[in-house]
Amino acid sequence: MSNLSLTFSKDRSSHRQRADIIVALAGSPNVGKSTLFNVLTGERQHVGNWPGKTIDRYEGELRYKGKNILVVDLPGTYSLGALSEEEVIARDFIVKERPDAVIVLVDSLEPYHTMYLALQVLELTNRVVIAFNKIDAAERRGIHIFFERIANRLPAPIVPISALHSHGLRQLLEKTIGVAEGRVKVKRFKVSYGALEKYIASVGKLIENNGIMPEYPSRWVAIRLIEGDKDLESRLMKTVKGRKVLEEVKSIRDKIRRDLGEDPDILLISRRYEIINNILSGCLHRERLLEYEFSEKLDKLVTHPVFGPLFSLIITFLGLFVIFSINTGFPLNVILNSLGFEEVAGVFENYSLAELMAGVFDQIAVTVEGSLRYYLPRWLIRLLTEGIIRGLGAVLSFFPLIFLTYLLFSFLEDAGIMARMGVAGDFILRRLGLSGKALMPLLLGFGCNVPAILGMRILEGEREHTLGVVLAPIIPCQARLIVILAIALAIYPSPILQVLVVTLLYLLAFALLGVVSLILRLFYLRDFSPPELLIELPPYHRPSLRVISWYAWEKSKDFLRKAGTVILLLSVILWFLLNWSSSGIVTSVEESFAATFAKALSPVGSLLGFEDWRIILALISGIGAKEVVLEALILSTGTSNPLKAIRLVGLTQLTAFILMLVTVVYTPCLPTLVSIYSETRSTKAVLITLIYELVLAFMLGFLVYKIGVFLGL
Amino acid sequence: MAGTPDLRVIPLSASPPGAIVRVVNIVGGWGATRRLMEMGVVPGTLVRVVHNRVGPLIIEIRGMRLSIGRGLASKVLVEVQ
Repeated sequence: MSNLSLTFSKDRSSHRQRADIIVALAGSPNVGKSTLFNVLTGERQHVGNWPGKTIDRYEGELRYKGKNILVVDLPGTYSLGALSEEEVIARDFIVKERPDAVIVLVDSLEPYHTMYLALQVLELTNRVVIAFNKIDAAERRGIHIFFERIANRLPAPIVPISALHSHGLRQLLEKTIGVAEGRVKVKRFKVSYGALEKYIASVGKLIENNGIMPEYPSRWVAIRLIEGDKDLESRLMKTVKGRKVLEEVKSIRDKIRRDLGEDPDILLISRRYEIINNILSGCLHRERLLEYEFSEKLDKLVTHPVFGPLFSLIITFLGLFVIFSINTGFPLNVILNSLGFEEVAGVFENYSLAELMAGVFDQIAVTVEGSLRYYLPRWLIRLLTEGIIRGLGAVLSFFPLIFLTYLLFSFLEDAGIMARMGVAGDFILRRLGLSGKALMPLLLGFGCNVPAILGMRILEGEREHTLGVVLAPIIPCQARLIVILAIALAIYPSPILQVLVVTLLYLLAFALLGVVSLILRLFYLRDFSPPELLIELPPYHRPSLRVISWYAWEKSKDFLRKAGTVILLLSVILWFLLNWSSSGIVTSVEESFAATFAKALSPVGSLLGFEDWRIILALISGIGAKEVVLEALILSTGTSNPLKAIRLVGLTQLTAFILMLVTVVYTPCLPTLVSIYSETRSTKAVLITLIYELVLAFMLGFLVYKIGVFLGL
Repeated sequence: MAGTPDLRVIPLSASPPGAIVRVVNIVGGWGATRRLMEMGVVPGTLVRVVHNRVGPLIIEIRGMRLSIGRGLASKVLVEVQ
């Protein structure tokens, strides 16, 4: 997999040229589309973005009987009605890029609902193959489907498959190639809309006479306009002729309402379901099984407004516990230490992924230094070893973290648990202006804000997504936890006080989440209310390890590719600030630009009660990664132990609390900022996050200091 | 939906858990209600209310389980069977 091209966009045209056949894969969420895409294309895949969008575009190649087939995975949608960006992407691909064949996946467990998309694709193109997926699971659940009968009622070939167990794929490919090459003839499926037909005809004529959107079938455009299609309407609004046509369509819509006593969209959608009903009637035999009742009871618990979030919390924290123990050894090492297993704890620390990777990069740095020290000037060696190689190590050490979190994420999603978590969290998160789907990403934020921000993709609509992304950095991540734990241990004498202070900081962060959300909705995302929850609860099932690990791998690679370079560049700049002065490279951080800057900021620091400029230097260093706050204190105080270092910078119990508070709230680390940009593509979102966090940190710190001094603390 | 108002018609959000109801009408047009229809909640369909407590409802329609927000459910008018 590692030889996959990193410059996808450049390569795409060559994949195109090599392909004999281009096949699009369409299907509703949860029908097993990713599984089919993965088993079809194996490891020859490329992830990119749809032009100008933040939605992933997956393409893969396969060879079958000497033919190169390019498979394009369209976003999972329930319809092609342009209610979301995904739907516009899917239908524009079918219309504009004209794939040789479209495979529409239907879920055999829920054929009625998933046929809706198939019907819409059939209205748009005749190069269609319909694959009924999960036939084995359907049989197990007592659903029997008579495929021959369905095939007699539809113009397109019907192929029963099980993507998970690679059943029926050969037949699917045969039919698909047949359709693509025109050997299998598929008639255009004409949905008859009964009483609406005469209106469709008159709008159709209107469109043809005015030459509106000639790339689409005119009947289809007519139906879409009568249904009310925001995407097509906004395209019409761009021309004078279009606006005139739209006016006439609107009057026809009013006429339908008067003549038939019902909204045209209800009539059209109802009619499609009536047709699906006719197609499927007598084709399904369903027995009700016990398993069903059990899953209902489970649902009751998992989506409960109190137990549900608790369950989500436990699952996420268990997941994060395992992920972080593998990655950094923390918090397992602390637990083992406190139980008296110091040796085992040491093993976990020394053999954690982060430690192993740091070891590798240190080794590389030593080798580079050793072999180049006589040829290159000293500053260049240090730039290479400390700036670039260690920076690269820091970026790459994100990989296992992101990969493991994505693994957890896609496991829960695939198992059907994630959807339930969304339901459980909806009641609470609605107060933050988010829908329940944001619960899981927010919880991930306790581990690391970067996967939290990446996970916000499950939110629908740009505004909710932006809100989720901008709010996520308030959640105190594990790196910040390490810093505040160290400060608490160093400054507060009693364990009770230590726990109390840390808990207080977390509670404060939750309160800030509410306050910031309110402010953002007042001034940034005006008149925004969270979308109503509408989510399918797919049957619980055991995820395919192959599919979820593939997904996690692709996603993490995509993250590194998008954010890696920028993070590296910014961390080299930060290294420069910490190691250079106007007279060149320095040996001690005290002479660096950053130190000069920190000293200049001393008056600001004393407003927060920080009398030692090294505290400010530590906070500046923490911009790269929050745990570096401790490292910078160690370096600038010349000690070897973080607790000693903290005790050397003149912190009282009050100012220690302020330092902890500021560490929790102030600017997100560089990787977080870069992720905010790569996910929203909005500089504004990055700046807003940066500014609100800095302002809040300063204001809260100042307030606490003044109150503390007033109370004589 | 002209005619005398039917007393048995209530919003879906007010339907008791376990009830089987028939969708009569969906009020409100664009957006979430539209999506609800596209997922098969159209007039005439039978819906089983699986759970209904605070927060979103869980319903079942032709073998598909859906969770829908309370506000959205109040826009779906149903007739208790």
